[in-house]
Amino acid sequence: MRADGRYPAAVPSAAITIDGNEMDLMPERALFLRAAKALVVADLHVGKSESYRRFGVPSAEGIDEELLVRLSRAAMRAGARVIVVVGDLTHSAVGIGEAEMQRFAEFRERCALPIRLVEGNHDRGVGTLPPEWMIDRVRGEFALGGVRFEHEPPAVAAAAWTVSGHLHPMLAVARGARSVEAPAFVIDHARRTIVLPAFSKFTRGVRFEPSAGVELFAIAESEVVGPIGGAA
Amino acid sequence: MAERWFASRGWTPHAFQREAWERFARGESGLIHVPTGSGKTYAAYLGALEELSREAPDGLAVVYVTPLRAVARDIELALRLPVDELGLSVTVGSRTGDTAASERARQREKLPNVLVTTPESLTLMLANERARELLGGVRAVVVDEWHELMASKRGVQVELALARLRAFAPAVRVWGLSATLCNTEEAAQALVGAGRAASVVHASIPREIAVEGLLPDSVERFPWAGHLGLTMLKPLVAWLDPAKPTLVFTNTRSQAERWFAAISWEKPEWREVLALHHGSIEREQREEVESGLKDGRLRIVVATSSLDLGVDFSPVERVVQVGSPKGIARLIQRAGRSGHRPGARCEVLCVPTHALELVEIAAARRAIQAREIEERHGWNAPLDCLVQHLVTCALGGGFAADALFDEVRTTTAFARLSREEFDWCVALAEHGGRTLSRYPQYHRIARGEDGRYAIASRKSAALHRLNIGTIAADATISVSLVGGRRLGSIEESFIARLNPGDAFLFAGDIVEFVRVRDMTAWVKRTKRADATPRWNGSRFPLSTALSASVRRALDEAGRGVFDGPEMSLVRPVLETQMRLSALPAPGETLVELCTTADGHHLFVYPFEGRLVHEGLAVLLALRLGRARATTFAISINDYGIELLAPADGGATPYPFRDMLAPALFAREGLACDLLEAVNLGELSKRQFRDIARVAGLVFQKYPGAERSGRQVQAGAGLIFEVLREFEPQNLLLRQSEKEVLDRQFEEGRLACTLAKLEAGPLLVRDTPRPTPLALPLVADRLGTTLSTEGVLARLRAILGAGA
Repeated sequence: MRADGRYPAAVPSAAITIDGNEMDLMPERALFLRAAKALVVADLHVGKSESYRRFGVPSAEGIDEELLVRLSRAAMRAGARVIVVVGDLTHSAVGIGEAEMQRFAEFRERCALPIRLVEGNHDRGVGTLPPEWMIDRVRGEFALGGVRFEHEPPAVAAAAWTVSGHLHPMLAVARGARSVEAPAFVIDHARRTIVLPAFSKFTRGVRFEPSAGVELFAIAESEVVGPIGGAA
Repeated sequence: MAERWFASRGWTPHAFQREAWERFARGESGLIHVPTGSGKTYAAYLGALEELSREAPDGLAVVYVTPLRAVARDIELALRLPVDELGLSVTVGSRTGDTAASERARQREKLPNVLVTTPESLTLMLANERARELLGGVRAVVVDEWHELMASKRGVQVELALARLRAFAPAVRVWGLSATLCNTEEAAQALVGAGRAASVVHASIPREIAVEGLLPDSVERFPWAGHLGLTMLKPLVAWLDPAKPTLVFTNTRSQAERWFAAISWEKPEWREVLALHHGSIEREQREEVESGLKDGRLRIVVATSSLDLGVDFSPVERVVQVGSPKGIARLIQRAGRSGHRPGARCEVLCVPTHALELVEIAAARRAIQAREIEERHGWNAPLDCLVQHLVTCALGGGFAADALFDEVRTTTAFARLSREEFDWCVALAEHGGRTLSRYPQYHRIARGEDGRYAIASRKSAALHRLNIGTIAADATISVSLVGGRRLGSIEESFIARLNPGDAFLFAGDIVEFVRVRDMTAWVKRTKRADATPRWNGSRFPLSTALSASVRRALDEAGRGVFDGPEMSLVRPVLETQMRLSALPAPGETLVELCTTADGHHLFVYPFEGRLVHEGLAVLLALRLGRARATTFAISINDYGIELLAPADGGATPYPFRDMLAPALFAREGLACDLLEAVNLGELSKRQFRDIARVAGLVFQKYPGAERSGRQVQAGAGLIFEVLREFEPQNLLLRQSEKEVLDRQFEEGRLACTLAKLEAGPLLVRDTPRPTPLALPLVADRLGTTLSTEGVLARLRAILGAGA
């Protein structure tokens, strides 16, 4: 798998094949399924900054803005026909104010692709989303092009590979004085699961260290670096 | 009256006390500068009381400010004594965070004539709608422990409050009380306001201070590094005597924990009379220790700087300093806790924990004899304090911008404040400034039709009153026994480094970390012996005065002069240093290069204290790394720095020697480079947390709730990120950068150090192995790193090395 034998290849997107299914791990923090032309993302937490403000913690304009621009660009760059959100599109009910409604409507004007949302724990707390967001909402799981989508990674492997979110995985490695923490895709062969990095940049995550049976692809400075670990 | 009362008690006033009374009567303000325990309280107070005894006052007339609410009660009793004995019709009371609600209610009706209070409670009175009416009759303000206050933001808070008081009561006289201080003029000026006449009353009471060293038999088996070192435990325990009340001071909490545990282990029979006191221990427990010390139940107390102040009323006979004394003023102050009678000789026993501290003891003794004491400086225009003050003034009857601007500029802290800065702060309080203006909770003050600012809403008023104050709060979380009582609190950063199952010493117990839940670290008791307390709290840098004295001692040693018992004892170590490398002469800076299995080491020894060294280390790492990218492991102590470049296959050593050119130490670009390095280290983010809290951008307390959880803790960090991205010119951001430079790295002192390094000469030595000066750095490496490589380069280096 290593391109130059010394460290893993770093290319703008990393192409991998799982069960004959070709996919791209994109530095925008998205997964693209080539056959289904589906852009898969997880954990956007739209309105998180606003809900912080409601609790007395100010945060900037522009966090959701950047997120939604990145999403429409990634969809365009990949040539996606559908966007799948594997949970936590939204953060909390108090976080969806007028400004957020307006911003999302603007995003939908730029990007009219169908969006399928597999409900995440945060989405359940938010309840019904405005119809003008045009979200096709699914509870539990659903499948597309031979892949399952479920917000929380399954405890045991299902028959088909599963794409999940929820954990906000971060690669954590250190050697000597050097250390790095970076958002990462986790490919867990034992559980037949791909865990996506959080699409939102305003999150903390679960730290993953390279281990046997689990391949990590880290996003560093707009490049996807991997696989890291994985050899049994 | 004062003379009469002194005579009735059989006392004779000191000359400085008479001088202070006379100056007060003449309407002067200023500073009373006398050693601890010499009767300065009455020097400041009786002048004012004299006046009250003649003209029966109506309402509040004398305010006595103490930084320690724990001693407010004792001071109240001391101030009441002459009133009662002379039968004066003057009322005395106190008002602090501890004052009972019933007492507060009574005070709301009518304030006592003489009031003991804290800076925070004084500010709260200024935030009262009737502030002008309540405080308009004040004739005198006494500020105790001004040397401690003035160097903190609480001092700025006091300065602003005094400016307000001067506006309410133009004839008010302000007297500060200060122990050992070098720059008394500056301290006095801060109290009376910029450009006003300030008097300084010096006591001529000689207080002899004897510095003794508890010395090991030989230095052969004495450790060369470490700061917990218990080598001297047995000799110390043999010296301690429960018959003589003793304070054992340490420099860090972990050191206090370790020594307390060790002494208890050696002398289980002292269980009833031995106690531990430091800032992480529950307040009630701390107060119990303080009162135990006062009434004589406790005889030996191991403490950190938490007991530097406020044991004035305790019968302490002996003082021990474990480890480096760090500073001359601090050592004098600690020594002053013993033999609490005016004129009595005070003694401090210094216990070295490693060999080089022997040099420090000798150096400290010499500096004390020569009266070489550190200066203390106030803050320059901290805008977070000003924003808080604006809201306080809006609450306390409102303000007109022009008048308040002039008033604020009468403080020394804000004497050079520009109108732009002032207006920026008003805008921040009025509508949250540029970035936060959309959010109603930041609209805290509002301009009325008459042009005066008043508080915007009752909610803002309530939140502000709850959050008044500038005491820097560490991000701490509670420590509790699983299913049991709360033990105290501890820095979050320490807990974050622990894994479940790790053991550490806390409040004298060995506990095992179980988990963190609900902002609490849950622990259970354990008997394991591998516990390591590692948290940092209160690590002071070696002061300029002590550092200069240490350098002189080393220089003499380099010329073969070993003066005094400590220097004679440490002689073999210093001779090894000379054999392997050298001892620097004054003006010279020693640099050592060395290669070990760990990699390539650069050691530089400026002897300027850990703060300067931290700045110097990241600066050099950044500049070296720019020329040749790598990731350095950094280690610092009070003597010098170490940069360790990874061996990376061991090919060629990192070319430190070729790169040691004067340009490396250029002062030009210092602030920029430091900030670049510092931002990497996230130091200003940490600093910003306190600034955001003082300025009222985040709140610690809400009505009915101590804190609203982790979100608020994370809040300041988030605002910091946001401002840095969207409003990089925000003045509070710039303040946090400035504070990091000034306070974290002592930027001025760092610039001097760089100048010295740039001018040279550098004494560069290749050494076969780490020398006695280098070993403590190698042994104490803290895990700080600085990388000039990007995330990608670092990731590749880590992965590549693993292949």
